Amino acid sequence: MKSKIVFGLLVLLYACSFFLRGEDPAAQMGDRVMEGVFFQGGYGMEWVWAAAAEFERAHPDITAYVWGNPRAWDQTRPRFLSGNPPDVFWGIHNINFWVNLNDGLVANLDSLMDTPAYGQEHLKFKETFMAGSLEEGQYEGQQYFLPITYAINGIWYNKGMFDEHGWTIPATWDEFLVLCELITKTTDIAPMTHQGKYPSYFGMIYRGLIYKLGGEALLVDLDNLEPGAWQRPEVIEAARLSRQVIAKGYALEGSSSFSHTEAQMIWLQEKAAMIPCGTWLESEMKHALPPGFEMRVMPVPGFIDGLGGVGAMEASAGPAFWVPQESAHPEWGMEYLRVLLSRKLAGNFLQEIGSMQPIIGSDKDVPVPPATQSALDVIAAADGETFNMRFTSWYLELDNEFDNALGAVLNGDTTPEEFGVRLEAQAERLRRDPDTIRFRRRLSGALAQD
Amino acid sequence: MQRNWKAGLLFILPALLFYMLFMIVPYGLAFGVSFVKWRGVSMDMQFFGLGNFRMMFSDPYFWKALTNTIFFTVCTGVIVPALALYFAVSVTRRLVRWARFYRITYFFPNLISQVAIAVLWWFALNPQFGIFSNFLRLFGMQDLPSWLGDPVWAPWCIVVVKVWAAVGFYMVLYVSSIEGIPEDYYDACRIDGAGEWQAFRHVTLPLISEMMKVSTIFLLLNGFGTFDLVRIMTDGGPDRSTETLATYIYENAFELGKFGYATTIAMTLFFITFSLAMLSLWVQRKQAVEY
Amino acid sequence: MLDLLRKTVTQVIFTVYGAIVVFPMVWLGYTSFKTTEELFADAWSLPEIWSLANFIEAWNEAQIGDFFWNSIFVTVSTLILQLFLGSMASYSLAKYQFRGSNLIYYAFLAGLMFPIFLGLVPLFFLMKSLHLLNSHLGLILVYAAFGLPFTIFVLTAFFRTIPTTIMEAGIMDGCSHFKLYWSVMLPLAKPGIVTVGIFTFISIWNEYILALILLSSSHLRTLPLGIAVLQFVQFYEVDFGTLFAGLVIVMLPTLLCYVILQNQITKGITVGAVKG
Repeated sequence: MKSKIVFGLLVLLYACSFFLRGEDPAAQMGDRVMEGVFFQGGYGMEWVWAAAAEFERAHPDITAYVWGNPRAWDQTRPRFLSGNPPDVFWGIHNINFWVNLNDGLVANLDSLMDTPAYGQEHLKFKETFMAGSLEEGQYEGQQYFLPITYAINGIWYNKGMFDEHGWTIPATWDEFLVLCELITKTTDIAPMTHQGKYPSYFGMIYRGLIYKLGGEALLVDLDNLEPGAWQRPEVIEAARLSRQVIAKGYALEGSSSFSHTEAQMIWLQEKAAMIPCGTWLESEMKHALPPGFEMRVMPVPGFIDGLGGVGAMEASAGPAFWVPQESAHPEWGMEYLRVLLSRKLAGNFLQEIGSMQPIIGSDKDVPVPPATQSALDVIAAADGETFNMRFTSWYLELDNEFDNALGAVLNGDTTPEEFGVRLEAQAERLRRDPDTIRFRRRLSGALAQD
Repeated sequence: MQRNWKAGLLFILPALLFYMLFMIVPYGLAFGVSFVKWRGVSMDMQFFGLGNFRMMFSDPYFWKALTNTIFFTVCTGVIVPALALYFAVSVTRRLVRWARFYRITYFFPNLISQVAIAVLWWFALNPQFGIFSNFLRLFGMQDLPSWLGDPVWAPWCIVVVKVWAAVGFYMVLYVSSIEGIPEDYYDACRIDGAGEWQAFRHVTLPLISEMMKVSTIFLLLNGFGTFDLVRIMTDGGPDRSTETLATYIYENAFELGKFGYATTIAMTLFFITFSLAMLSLWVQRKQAVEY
Repeated sequence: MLDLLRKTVTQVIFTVYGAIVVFPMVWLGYTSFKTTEELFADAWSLPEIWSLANFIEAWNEAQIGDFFWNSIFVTVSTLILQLFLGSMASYSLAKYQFRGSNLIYYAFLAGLMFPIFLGLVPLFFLMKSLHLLNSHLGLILVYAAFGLPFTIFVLTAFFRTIPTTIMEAGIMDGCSHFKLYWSVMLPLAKPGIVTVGIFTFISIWNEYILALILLSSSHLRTLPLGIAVLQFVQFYEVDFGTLFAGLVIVMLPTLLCYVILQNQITKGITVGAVKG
């Protein structure tokens, strides 16, 4: 009898499902629809919807249908294959979207860059961007991708904890080691933790080290896949120093398996004093912030006799928004971007989410959250000296190998010398591969603020 | 029945057509994709001949993924049937109390999605607040490995989770198989003075050989198809120590945009699985026993 | 003495493994009532407050309402189609001999071994040309086809155990082949069909990859896609409480079905598989 009841229930549910199946919202919107698909991650979706509302205010005859998803790329890929991609798109940062450029999928945005900026009609759109932030999204001088945020990376610490114990912020690597030793000796707190499952986080520390040891010239060579670059002494030394931190027991036990969620939660629970991360940290952890928790950032400690400034910070305006060439209304997609990256909405973004967008003046109009302000203060203290690396988005295989090899070095499974060997081997593979698109980077001024 | 072959054909035709259209055709076409270079976003494909295969043989990550996959398959293929058989025999031969309860609950892991299992165990294996590490700390153990973050322990953790997720299903299979054995055989054993172990060796085992054949094939497929668990728990790490062929295929196809190459690896995976399955069937075919 | 020792050891092993099996699910259950902070503060304690907030959030955030109905529709439709086609095919393979029947049987068997990734992209293009992309109908057809190998594998074994004498009697009585199949053989194979039905239900209810590729509109999505999205969203937004609630919601139907129908499964497999 039980089975008869179950069977009957199933039949009933089945009958209902005919009527209760999902309905297509797009079908109800009519013809004039601008569709945008976005990656839903640490920044949430509020800013996307805010820009959509603004877009509709400016263009009452067009509906802005924007939606987002952590799997935006996976779910939208089939639409590229079937020839109806959305009008504007942000996939995910670790997918090889430069490859899409080569397949002719990305619309050229040069015309957009010359139009007047939204809300600041006396300026051209391209003039509202911070110096250097547009370059990362250009290929052969033409604009294809637009940046989302101006992300500043460094070592984050708990201000309350540091004040309570009277700890000072270390400027050099030696001072950093002394601080870690002090923390270990006098408290139960681990000096640091890191997102071990994703070694690219510790990579922020590593990249800081190679910049401060070898200067911009080294970074440019590494990004350009110069033969032998990955085996330069600074590269090996940075690996050695990274391992040193772990070997001395300064990282919380178990860090090597932590995802970003766990590591950051544990840091919030004050089990560790420091953690590498970017300016999205506060917004990402907003659900779990203990009341009164003040987070601040410090630069990766440097070297007095190094080629890079002691207090420089890693900052980049990662290119990510693009307009698919084949979409129904690419001009509307571009218009959406013009609205999204306007000074007004960038200010909104900063206020709500705490991360900066590389629009000049956006931090002047709104109160800047203290965490982000601390990042800006640090850059100001370093006279605006920042650095970044491009291979992480240009050469995905190299980026993967970098993560794997760094993780291995941190765990002690690989020596720093082998680290260099592995990465040089991967770079060599890429140099020989006829299908890998080569990008070139020139020595340039650092990403200044105004 | 030979005269009615027309009817037989008619019965099977719809299913066959369906199968051919939606399975055989795509897989057949896929075979062709392994000979091209293709990024999978536009229709732009470039003939590459055996290039993908050459690339695969000289790709150290492929070999690493292959070794790992074999490791997972062998471990689950040995531990799962052994454990499942032990449980099944104990439950049916009434060697344990509350057998009925165990029969029902041991199947639970098979009801939940791989995603849920992965999230569950990922929490349990967390070195800081996971139940496993804290349990060991109760006994005073210090300096524990970071389980999924350790390239030596991570693969074994994956094996544990795979076994946990699979045993229930096979236990149920074996239980029903054993229950089909007439009690007389066991009575005869007892009369002859044989104990439980002999009964197992001479009665149970031979008479469930069909089921063992079936389960071997399923276990093979299970092992070679390891994907979701690894992707969520370790993402192939640390340093590719838990990378399987399935996760490597996914990485190549959907992250690196190398569809042709990914298909080549997938074809290889298929050939390996198919050959091993045929091999196991052939090896076991002589052991068919009737009542 | 040795006997008692062995009995105790067995009992202990069973109890331990029973705990290992049941506890995670119980834990998942009560943790879904906790907030995320509570969860990270002490992962294993019982919730202070048993709040339904997570469930409401999961239901809305993951649009579980819509996805639930989509999943029911797709799963049951697939079941009907697959069981119908599969049982006919199995019946034919088991009871009728004709040239090539063995070859066809092995061809179906091979289908079990194709790794899904292999066929994904060509399948996508095939569905595109058939205009069946992004539709529940397309998904149902594909699911039914992909499920045929397993169905046929199990049901063929079943049908083989039904004595041929029944068939011959039926034919002598003047039954048409189809009537024989429908009124006589099918009811006899009910346990097998129920078994295959349950396994198929479980696997389609949890199926992810094909749905991901073949459905691009969010209103058409099935539950696993919704949960996968939920999982990643909560992962990035650090909202594990909601994630767990979502997982529990997905798990409940299969769990309930199983507990109610579990003796059917074991009965079902017994009848045919041994002789298979």
